[in-house]
Amino acid sequence: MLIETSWKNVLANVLKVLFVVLVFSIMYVPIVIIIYQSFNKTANSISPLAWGGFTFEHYKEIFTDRQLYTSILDSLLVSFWATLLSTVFGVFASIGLHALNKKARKAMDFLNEIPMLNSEIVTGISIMLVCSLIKPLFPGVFGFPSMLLAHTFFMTPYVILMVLPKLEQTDEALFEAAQDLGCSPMKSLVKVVIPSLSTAILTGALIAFTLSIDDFVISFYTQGGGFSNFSNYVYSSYTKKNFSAGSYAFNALLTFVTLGIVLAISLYGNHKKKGENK
Amino acid sequence: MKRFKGFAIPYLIWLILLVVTPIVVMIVLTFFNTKGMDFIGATFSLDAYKRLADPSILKALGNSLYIAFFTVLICFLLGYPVAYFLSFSNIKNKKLVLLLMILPMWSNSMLRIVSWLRLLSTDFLSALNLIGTSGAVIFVTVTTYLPFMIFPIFTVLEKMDRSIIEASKDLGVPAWKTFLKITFPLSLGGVSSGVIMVFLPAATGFAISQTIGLDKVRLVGNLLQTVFEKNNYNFGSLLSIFVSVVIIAIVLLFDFVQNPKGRGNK
Repeated sequence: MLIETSWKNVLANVLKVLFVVLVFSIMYVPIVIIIYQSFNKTANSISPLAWGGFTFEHYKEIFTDRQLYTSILDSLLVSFWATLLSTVFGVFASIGLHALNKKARKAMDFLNEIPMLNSEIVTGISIMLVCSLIKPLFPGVFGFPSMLLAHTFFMTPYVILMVLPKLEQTDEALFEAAQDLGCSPMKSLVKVVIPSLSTAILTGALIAFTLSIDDFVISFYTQGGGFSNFSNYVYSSYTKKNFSAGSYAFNALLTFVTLGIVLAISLYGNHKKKGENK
Repeated sequence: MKRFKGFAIPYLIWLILLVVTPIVVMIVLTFFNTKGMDFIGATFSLDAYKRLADPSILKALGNSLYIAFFTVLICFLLGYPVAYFLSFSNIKNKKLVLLLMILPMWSNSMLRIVSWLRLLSTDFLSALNLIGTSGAVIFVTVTTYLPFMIFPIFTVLEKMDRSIIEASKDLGVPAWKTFLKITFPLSLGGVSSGVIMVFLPAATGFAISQTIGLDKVRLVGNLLQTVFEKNNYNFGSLLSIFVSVVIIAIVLLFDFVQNPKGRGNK
């Protein structure tokens, strides 16, 4: 009887692991294809995925294909500034929201949810309309300014979503204590309250950056003046059939670097744990 | 910290400028016949409203909801067990497994879609004629947004008080009943976040349906994109408002059904 149940347990566990591995591998199929194509000499041929020999050529294209590397640099530029702006903006907005009375808070929460509940395509179109309105006054708005505005707009609510709940858990006494010890209210906010939120702020910034660097739809409507991002470069070059396999190489490189960092961190973590056990 | 109320003011102004202004502009645009945003020589017209009755619009909306419904359903059926098994397993390095789950998302989503398209176009798979079908669009949408379902569920399960489940076991309740009566209801918050996070992009995206669906599967996103591409801002604005109202109504309705007391009183 006992043997039978343990046998059943083992089978159940094997099935569980198989299921998780299966789902994970479906998500990894495109990653494998990207890496495969990045080394494939005939990545751009008409017959898809045919192996034409090993090459590093596509990795060179990252630095020689002007359209490709400009789009990569544009992506990084927008995402960097938009992450910085939305994080600062989100933190201060959270502090403001936290201080509001119940009624005003409810109205603000509703407004704040709109950018998240609205579809990306309508958000993109909305910001494009706002930019078209100010275009007569500021002719160069389409490009970096419009994309920065749009990204900051859709990212800020995510920062607030991360920071505000943590702020609500923060003990008001911490803030009072800093003042009793002679800090001005502003100083106690900057030196005591904000540092206590650092994990939440970092998580918010990381989520914002991840969404921004991968964004396609919102950037599609706010790009212009020769300024675009990597997703839009992939989309437009693919539809115009002048797709550069350098895109695969860039993405594969990014995967290798992040995988390396992840492995290094986990190895370091294990190493540290072992050291502690001694 | 009540004295920092003023910090909400810049954000309020920002939200009014960027949320309310476009709505007003869109409403105005629906009543005219303009060339893009150019109001010079524009005439009053209700053409946009007449066009909204076109059967192709309802069909695109129906297609979008159909694709989004099955995407959400499949994401839930695959994502819940994965989140559950991972959360309740006794593997040592849970963080590493979690990172392995995030890693595919750090690859560009557009490039992932292109890769699926290349794979489905190979001689072997193209014999199945998958490209241009709703099934293929749903499949690629599922693989793109699955992590959005797994994460919130996993987070809720990790935070759950395990002693409640232990208590139920100690009282002799069978495992399946414990799951149905305790674990699952307690994880509904994560499920509803996941459902909304997958539903929104699945219902309104246009890249997957255009590349994988080859314009044979037309969704509201594709419709909006072509209308704006043809510079018809009047009908485009009306369609944007229409889509937003329908999508937000569905999300709020879902939220209400799942948690009738409202968001704030969880």
